[in-house]
Amino acid sequence: MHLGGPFEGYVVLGFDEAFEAQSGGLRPRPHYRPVVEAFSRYAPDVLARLAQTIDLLLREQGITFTLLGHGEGLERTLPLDPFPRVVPASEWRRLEAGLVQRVRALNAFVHDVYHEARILEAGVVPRDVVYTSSQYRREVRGITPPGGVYVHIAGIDLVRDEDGTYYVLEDNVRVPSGVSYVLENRTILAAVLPHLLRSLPVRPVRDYPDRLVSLLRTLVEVDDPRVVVLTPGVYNSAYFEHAFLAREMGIDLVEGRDLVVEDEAVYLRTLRGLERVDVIYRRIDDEFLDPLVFRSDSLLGVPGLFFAYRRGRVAIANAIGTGIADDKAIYPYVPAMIRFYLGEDPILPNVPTESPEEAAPRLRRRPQAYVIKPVDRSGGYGVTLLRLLPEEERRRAIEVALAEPRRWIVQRLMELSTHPTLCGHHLRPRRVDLRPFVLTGRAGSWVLPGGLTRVALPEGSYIVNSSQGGGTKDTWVIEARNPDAPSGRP
Amino acid sequence: MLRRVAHELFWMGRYLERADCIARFLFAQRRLALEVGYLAHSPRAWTDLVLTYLGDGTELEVPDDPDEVVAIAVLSKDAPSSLLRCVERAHENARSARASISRETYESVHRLFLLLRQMSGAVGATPAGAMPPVEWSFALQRIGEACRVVSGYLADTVVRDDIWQVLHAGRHLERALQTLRTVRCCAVNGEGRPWRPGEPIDPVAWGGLLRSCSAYEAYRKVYRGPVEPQAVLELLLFYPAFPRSLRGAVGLLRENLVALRLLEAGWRPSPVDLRFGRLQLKVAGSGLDGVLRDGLFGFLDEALVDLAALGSALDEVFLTDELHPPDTGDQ
Repeated sequence: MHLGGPFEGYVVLGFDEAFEAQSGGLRPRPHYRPVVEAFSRYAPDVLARLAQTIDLLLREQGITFTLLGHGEGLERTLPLDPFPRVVPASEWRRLEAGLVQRVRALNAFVHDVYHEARILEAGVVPRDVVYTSSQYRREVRGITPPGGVYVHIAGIDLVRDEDGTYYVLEDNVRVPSGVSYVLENRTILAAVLPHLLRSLPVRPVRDYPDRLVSLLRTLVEVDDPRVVVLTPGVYNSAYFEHAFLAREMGIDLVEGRDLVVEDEAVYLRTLRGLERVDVIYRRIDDEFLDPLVFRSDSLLGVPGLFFAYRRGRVAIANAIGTGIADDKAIYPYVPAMIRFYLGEDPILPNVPTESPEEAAPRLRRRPQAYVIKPVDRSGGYGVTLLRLLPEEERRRAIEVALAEPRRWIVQRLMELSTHPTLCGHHLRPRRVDLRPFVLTGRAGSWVLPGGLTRVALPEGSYIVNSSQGGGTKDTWVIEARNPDAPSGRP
Repeated sequence: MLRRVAHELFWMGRYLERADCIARFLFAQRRLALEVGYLAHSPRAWTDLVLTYLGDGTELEVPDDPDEVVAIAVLSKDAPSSLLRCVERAHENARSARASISRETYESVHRLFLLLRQMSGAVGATPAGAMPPVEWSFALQRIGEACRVVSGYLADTVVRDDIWQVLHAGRHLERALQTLRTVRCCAVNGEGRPWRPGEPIDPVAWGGLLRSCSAYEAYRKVYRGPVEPQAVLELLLFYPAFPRSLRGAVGLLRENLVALRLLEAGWRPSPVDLRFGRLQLKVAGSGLDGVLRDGLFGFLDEALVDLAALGSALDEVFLTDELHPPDTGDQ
């Protein structure tokens, strides 16, 4: 197939999601063929208009995130690339199985470290890594949340290497964000690419809020429980998502100051007096939840909330203490956890990761092949790609990591797969990752088909985070026959 | 409904209504003044009229060019009552209560906000994106229409629950205030001073008064005659079936407060009951003859004070901290 039009000059460097190299050129992978053909037909001005329309829709609908460190917050739209990512059903089923397996193990691990600590006893995970973690909450030792489920909502970041193998890059099991963009991206692409979307059996994502609220309601044994979303407030970077989810689920979006604890029960301050709260979907980290127990300077939390939780009078999702499972220093042990708790081999491998001490000789020999990450930060903050640093700074970064090895991990630099992405009038390869979302309740896990594909928009960039110049893509899981389609539809 | 959200919605209602009223006022006054040549002959008088209406006590440098006065009234970041400031605040309130209002309502407020920001050149960044000065009538019409789109979405997409009632309590309180303020600055005699019964009126100012309250056609329908000051005042202050009249707006406000059980709910009168009672006595218990006999402007000023006091009493309700858990027996 001749690649012309907007694909003119497209070059595949490593593993490209949409194209494979063949003698004398590129060939679209079979599951990408309809999308590539559709985009090939678009004239440059049509593509430019498509991008403008998407940007207009995002701005007019106020689909934004807030950049941190800009006073009271600077609202930005998260760029949505019109070219969707396509995942064939067979590939998705394997990912789904791997994600469910991983979340099961992480959940078992959180329960274990706050109860018998068998995995520490067996020496599979070193004690000091757990007990020195800033995410370890000794206050919840011995507390079992309803159904023994800790990680109700997980966002697991996946990347692909040069050969197309999927790896887990990190686990987000405290307050993972991004799912609102998955839903909004689909709505926008349905508006701007109706023919293409209609022509393919793309699995829908629309029922996520229903699934989430149903799950949250099962966390307590109360008739018609009152569920709320707890947000840090309008200046939080993910405030749009908090408001979006609360509205979609038809529940209250509350701030800490809207809640009060009386006699170890949590109440809302409403116009008609105090009303009992049964379940809190919190979008605030543990340490800010209750100033009486955790950080005393927290203005976001609710004094006494922890005691109500400990008494089982309010359920919190995700449970307090799950952060121990997404500490980056714990991450290298997840494959061992899967074997330990489930007796299975991991379906999805980890990116090769070591502590700075273990990695020291290789790090000094081939620094450009490694990334240094802080164990306790997210959003791409503090990530150091040694390849991009001048010699002197590179050496300094390595010394800093070796001086405080518990604060850093060293990962092999993954090339990340590339994906056609609209840059001006042309489609160009840009690096992508994928954050699928896993909901887990008493009855098991469910994975949202697709997830948030994040794309590093600047040429050559590896950082896909929204706070660092990243954009997003809609992710289409294509079934040969759509299992989610209402019956009676062809 | 959460108290914090009630507070946000109450003020969202107030700021939206204020923006709507200011847009109506500026649009009507400017068009009328242009049509009758008033802007050409007495630009200073017109400027004073606009500033009296906005009357927010700020020390603004007042230009002579009427279009620049409109620019201040619409886009000033310093004048607290500029349209831009009102819409920015309504937008902040809507954002804080975003999960409680319909998506359409939020998006219509957001678009109104973007429209104002775009006009002020803050969005779009290029100087070419700023407002050409000759386009004010068109701009004011667009702003007014954008305000009414919000009203339309509110009317059609929000359940008649506490959220709706609180938002409309804010709207109706503000509407009553704005009608009083409009009467106060437009009810002038031929020399531009406060009108007293028997004095000749400034027909342009009184025609503008009706149009500023979208009451011109209502007046024609109800009174079927030329603009007479007594009839105009009766319509704008005491005609219950006209939704922008003082009595009409206060009647609607009463319905909202009763539905919210903020009025006539307890065995002992609350501060809201007391404030509202005072206002009601004035609005329902007075007639135009008595008001004209005792002094129109004294009445307007007292009603403005009563409305402001009622607004403060409602603020107190939303912000109060004295709450107790219900006695459900499940402890």
